[in-house]
Amino acid sequence: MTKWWIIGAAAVLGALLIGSIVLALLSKETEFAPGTPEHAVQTLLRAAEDDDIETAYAMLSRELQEKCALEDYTDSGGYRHYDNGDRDIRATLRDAKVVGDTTFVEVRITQFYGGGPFDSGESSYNQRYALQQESSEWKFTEYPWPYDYCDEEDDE
Amino acid sequence: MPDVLFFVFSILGSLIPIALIGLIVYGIIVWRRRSSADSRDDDADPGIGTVRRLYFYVVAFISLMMAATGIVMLLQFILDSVSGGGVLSESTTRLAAGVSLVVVGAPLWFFHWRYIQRAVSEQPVETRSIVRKLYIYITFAVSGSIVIYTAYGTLDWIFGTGDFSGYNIAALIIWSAVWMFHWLVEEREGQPTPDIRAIRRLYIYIAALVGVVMLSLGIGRILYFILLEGYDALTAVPLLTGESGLWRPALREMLAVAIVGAGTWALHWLYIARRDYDSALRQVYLYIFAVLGGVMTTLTALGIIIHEFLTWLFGTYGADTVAQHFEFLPGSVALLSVGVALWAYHWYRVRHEAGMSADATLSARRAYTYILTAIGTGALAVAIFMLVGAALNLILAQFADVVVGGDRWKRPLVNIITLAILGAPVWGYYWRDIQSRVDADSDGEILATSRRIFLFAALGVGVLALLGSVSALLFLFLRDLLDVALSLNTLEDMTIPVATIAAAAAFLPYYWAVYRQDQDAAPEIALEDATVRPEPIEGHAASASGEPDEPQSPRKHVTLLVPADADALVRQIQDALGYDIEVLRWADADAATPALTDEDCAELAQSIVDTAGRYVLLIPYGDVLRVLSHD
Repeated sequence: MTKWWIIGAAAVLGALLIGSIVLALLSKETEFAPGTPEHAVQTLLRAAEDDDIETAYAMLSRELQEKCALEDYTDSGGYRHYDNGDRDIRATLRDAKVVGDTTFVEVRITQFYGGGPFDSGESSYNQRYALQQESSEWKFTEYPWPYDYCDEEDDE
Repeated sequence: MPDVLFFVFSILGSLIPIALIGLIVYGIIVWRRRSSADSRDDDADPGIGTVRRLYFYVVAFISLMMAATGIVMLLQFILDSVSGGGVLSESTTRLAAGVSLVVVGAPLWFFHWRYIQRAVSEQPVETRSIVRKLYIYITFAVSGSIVIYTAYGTLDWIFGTGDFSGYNIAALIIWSAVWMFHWLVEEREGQPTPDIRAIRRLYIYIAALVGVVMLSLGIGRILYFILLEGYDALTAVPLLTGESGLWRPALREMLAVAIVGAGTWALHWLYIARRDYDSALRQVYLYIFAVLGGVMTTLTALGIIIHEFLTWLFGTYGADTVAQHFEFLPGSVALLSVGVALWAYHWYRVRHEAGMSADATLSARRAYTYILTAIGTGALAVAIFMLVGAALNLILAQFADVVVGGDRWKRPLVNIITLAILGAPVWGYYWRDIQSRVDADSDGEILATSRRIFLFAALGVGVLALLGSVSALLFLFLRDLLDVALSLNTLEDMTIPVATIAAAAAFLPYYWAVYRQDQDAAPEIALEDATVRPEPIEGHAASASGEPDEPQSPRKHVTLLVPADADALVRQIQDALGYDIEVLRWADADAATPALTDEDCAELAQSIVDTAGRYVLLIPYGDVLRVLSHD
C-alpha cells in the first residue's frame, strides 16, 4: 500500500517536472508593443543585462539627465545594490497603473546569485518604475532599478 | 513566498553547525564515560607512552597540514600559470610559501610518521590508542571538509558558473590523496575498542549528515527552479527570463551542491556505514536527524500549502491576482517532495534494520515519537489559544461599532485550521502509538527516560502558562477595579490570559492523569524519583527491562579461513554479526566452503559472542565452522 503511494507521488512529481520543462522550453519573453511603458521597462532591463548604461541613461527624463551627467551616472555603479557580475535575473510584469501623467509599472524581480552550498541563492522583490511621455517616448522620472543611484552632489 | 522558502532553507542550513556541535559533545561524553573502563587496558600495556605518543601525533598532524598546504600551493601556482589569463602582475610569493612549507613540513611528517608506524608494528597495542585515532579522524574531518568545498568549486567551474581556480583543483587532488592514504591505514588496522568505534561513528555520521543535507538542498532547489519555470510560463508575463532559461546558473550551482552531497552521503552512509547496525549513534542519525528532519520538512511544506490554500478560499490574500497568490506552489511542492523522499527512504532503512540493534533502536524511536508528540501537542495548544482568543475578540466586537475590518476573524481562522489539520493527526497517531506500547507493557515504556522528560516538560510548561495567566488575569482585574476603570477594555486586555488558560486546560489535566497512572503502575520508580533509567549509549546498551545494564556483547576481531569463492558465506556471517570480518584465503587443494543457513549463521554469531577471547578464528571443519578464540 505504502509502496503504491510512493510510486503515485513520484509519478505526479515526474509529470509536474516534465510539464514544467516543456512549458519552460516553449515559453518566450513577451514582446510588448513599442511606445508602451512596459516596452520601455523591458528595454531598460535588457540594457541592464548587457551592462549598457548609455541606453539606460538615454531613457531617463530630461529633468534627471540635467541633474546627473552620464559620467556621474556611470561612476555611481559602486553605490548600487546590484552586482553586474551576477546578472542572472528574471523579471515578470505585475501591474501597470496610470496616475495623472505618470504610469507606474510594477515588476517582480527574481535575482539568482552564487550563495554557496547552504544558501537559497535567490531573492525576489517588487520594483516600481515611474514613467512619463516626453516627445512621444516613455522616460523614467525616477532613477530606475538597477541604475537607481546617481552621485548628484559631486556634480555641483 | 520565496522569502518563506529562504527562511526554511536558512534554518536547515543553520541546523548543521548545531548538529555538529551536538554530535561532538556526544562524542566527548561517550569518551569520558568509557575512559575509566579502558584505563585498565592502557595501564596493562602503555605502548610508547602517553606523553611521547601525544608529541608524535601532534607534530605529525601539524607537519602533515604544512606539507599538504605547501603542495597545494605549488600545484596551484603551476595550474594558475598554465591556465593563462590576463596576468597584470605576476607574484612568486605563493611559490616561495609553498616551497618553504613543503621543505619543512614533508620531512618532518615523514620521519614522525615512520617512527609512529614502526612503533605500531612493534607494539600492536598502539592501534588501540585514542590519540592515534583522534589524529586519523581529525585528519579525515579536515581533509574531507576541504575536499567537499573544493569539489563544489571545481564543479561550479565545470558547469560554467564559477571562475577557474587553481586552488580548487590542487586542493581537491592533494587533500583527496591525504584522505585516501589515512583511510587505507585505518581500514588495515580496524577499530578494536568501543572508544575508537565511537570516534569513527561520530565522523561517519557527521559526514553522512552533511552529505544528506547538501543532497536535499541541491535536489530541492533544482526541483524548485524547474517547477518555477513551468508555473511562470503558465501564469506570468515575462519581461526578462534571464541569461540561459532553465539551465540558469543558479540551477547549475545547485546541481554541483547535489552532486557533491550525493558523493559524500553515498561514501559514508551507503558504503562505510553499510553494516554498522549495532550503533546507538546510527539510530540517533536515522531517527532524530533523518526521519525527524524529513517529517519536519514535510509538515512545514504541508503547513504552507494548507495555509495559503485556505487564505485563497477565505479570500484574505493580499496579491493582485490568484496566480500571484499561488506563486508559493513551486517552492512548497519542491520542499514537500524532498521531505517525503527523506522520510520514506530513512523510514525504509529503519524498518529494514529493526531488530538488528534492539536497544539502540528502541531509545531513538522513543525520542522520535515523543518529539513528534510534543510538536503535535504544541500545534494543537496554539490552535486552541488562537481559537479562544479569536472567539473572545468576536464576542467583544459585538459590543462595539466596527468601522473597518469586520472580517478580521478570517485570518486567525485560517491559522487555527492549518494548525489543527497538522497537529491533530500528528499528536493522535504518535500518542496512540505510545499509549499502545504502555498498554502492552512492552519494553518498559512507562519507565523510559524519554517519556518522563516529555511528561515533565508538558506538565511544567502547562503549569507555568496556567500560573502566569491566572496572575495576569488577577492583575488586570485589580488594576482596573482599583482605578475604577472596569470596562470593555478590561475584558479585551484579558483575552490573551484567558486563551492561554484554555490552551493549558486542554492538555494539563490529561497529562497529569497520565503521569498519575504511570506512578501507580510503577510505584518503586515514583519513590526513587531522582533515579532516571538510563538510555543506551554508544556500545553500552541498557537492558529493556529496566534492570541494571547487562554487559553488552563486545565486537570481536573475527578472522575466517575460506577458499577464494566464499564471498557469499562472508556476507552471511557479516550480516549475522553486524560488522565486517577479516578473511584469510585458504590455498590448499582440499579447501572447501561450508554451506550455512541463516539460522546456522545466527548460532555462529552467538558462539562468537560467547567465546572467551577477543580475537576469533573461524576454521572450516567438514560442514561446519570451528570457532576458536584468543587474546
